Amino acid sequence: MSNQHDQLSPQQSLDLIASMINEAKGNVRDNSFYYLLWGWVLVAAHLGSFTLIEFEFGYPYAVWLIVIPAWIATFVHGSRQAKKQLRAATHLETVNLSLWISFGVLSVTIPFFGAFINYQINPVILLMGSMATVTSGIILKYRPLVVGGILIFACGLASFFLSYQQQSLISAAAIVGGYLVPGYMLKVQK
Amino acid sequence: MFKELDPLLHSQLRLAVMSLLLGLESAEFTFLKEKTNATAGNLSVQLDKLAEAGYIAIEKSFRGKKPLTTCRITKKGIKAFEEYVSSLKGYIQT
Repeated sequence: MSNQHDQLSPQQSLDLIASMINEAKGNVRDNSFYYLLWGWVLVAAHLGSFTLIEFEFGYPYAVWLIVIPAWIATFVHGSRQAKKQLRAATHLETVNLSLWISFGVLSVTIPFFGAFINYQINPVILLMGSMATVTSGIILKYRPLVVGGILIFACGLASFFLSYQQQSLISAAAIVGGYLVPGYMLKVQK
Repeated sequence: MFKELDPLLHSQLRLAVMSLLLGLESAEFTFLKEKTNATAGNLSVQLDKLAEAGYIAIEKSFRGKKPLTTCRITKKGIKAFEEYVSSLKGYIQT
């Protein structure tokens, strides 16, 4: 782009503004890696938990240790991306990311207070996840994700009536149906 | 009557930068350089002019050992941009 001295006609100015606004739009960072990674990790943890209880393993909660490699993968991928990509952040992207980080923080914190809520941790986390999923769907203007969030909400309510083992199964189903399926649909569309 | 166009914005490169920043929370120097096809030297000069006027905020830091320049539009910049666009409309409509 040339120097400041060239004379722009009003129409050229408006065209330039419109084209630059479009340029900025198409350059949001692709964070789908994190969203999909964590979706699968949580599904695996819930299914693992279900299986370990089924086989009467003494410490079914041990399966949650798989979140440690997931954190490592998140940090490694994050630091690689930071070096590579042309960085420009949109407001909505930042809002969406903070929403899921907040959800992550709550999901890690709430289990420590399980005794206060009668260990109904899975239903509470599913309900919070439904809120984040619906909001993400609205931010991204992507209806399947909103529908997915409603499905997660229904599964969350239903799991209040189930045993811990059954809750693991319904949580895995909720994440696949309400989050991963719309997540992949969105990725394919892009 | 024609409103005078803000001379700071009525320039190809500065207007391009402001339009890019308007839709973003922040953008790195390299991003702006690629999108505007400007040379680093020219872009740097124009960014400084916008920053001096208070239209954008420039933050200099480091990523690893490399210097990192991040720009974001300020409230004053948004207001100036809006006024510029409304003056432009006056020219187009007549």
